[in-house]
Amino acid sequence: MRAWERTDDGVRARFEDAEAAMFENLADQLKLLHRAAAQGAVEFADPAVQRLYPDGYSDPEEAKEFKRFSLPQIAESRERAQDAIIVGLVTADRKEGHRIVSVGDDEVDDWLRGVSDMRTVLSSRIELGTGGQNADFDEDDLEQFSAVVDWLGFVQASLLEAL
Amino acid sequence: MSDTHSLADSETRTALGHGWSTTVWDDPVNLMPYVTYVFRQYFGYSREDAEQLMLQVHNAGRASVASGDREQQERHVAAMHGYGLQATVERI
Repeated sequence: MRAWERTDDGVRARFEDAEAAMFENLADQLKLLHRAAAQGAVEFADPAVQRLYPDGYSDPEEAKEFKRFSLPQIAESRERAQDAIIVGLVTADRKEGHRIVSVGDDEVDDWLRGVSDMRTVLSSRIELGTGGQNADFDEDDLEQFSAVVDWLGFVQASLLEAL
Repeated sequence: MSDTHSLADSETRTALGHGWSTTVWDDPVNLMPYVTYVFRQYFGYSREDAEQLMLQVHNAGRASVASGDREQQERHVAAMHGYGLQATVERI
């Protein structure tokens, strides 16, 4: 991937096909997670979910009530943010081995938020290490997650620089 | 007259610590320029003010980024959560 460049009505960047596929896959997963969250069908004890949907009050009762009325809307808006990324990657200008992705000024916010969500989930998995609640992942997976978190950090930071 | 009176009342309440604030907490994931972006984009802070608040979050572990009535702070906190930031409504 190369750094984002400013265009007349947004930003544009080149993604290798493999990067775009991985990025799209992450957006799909986050989209499903947010959709499940909107329906109350996620495991709130999962540290990654806790990080994505933190308490809005330090008092547990107030936090619970706040979550009850605020979470569905927050989750739907985050699902839409992942949609924006998916649409951007799918409709990109396809070249040999790479694609040119264009993001309009009105979609930048969704992209930045969507990338933040991906980094949050992957970082939670890395922090947990292997075993326990994280038994699905081994050392190699976590090393790969770490590389993806850095890559997503570049995607986000260079987008912010291009604005 | 009544307007003046109620304004004085609300100022007194705030001075006595009955207001509410939006507190953003440091997290190990979000990049500093992203946090600055969120403060500018959502609250409309100048670049300088947004950076100041971001640094306060980063260095002190937390910053109060808005204050006022409770409902408004709840909207702010929900918005911060939507950006992936850790935020709580606090009584001040």
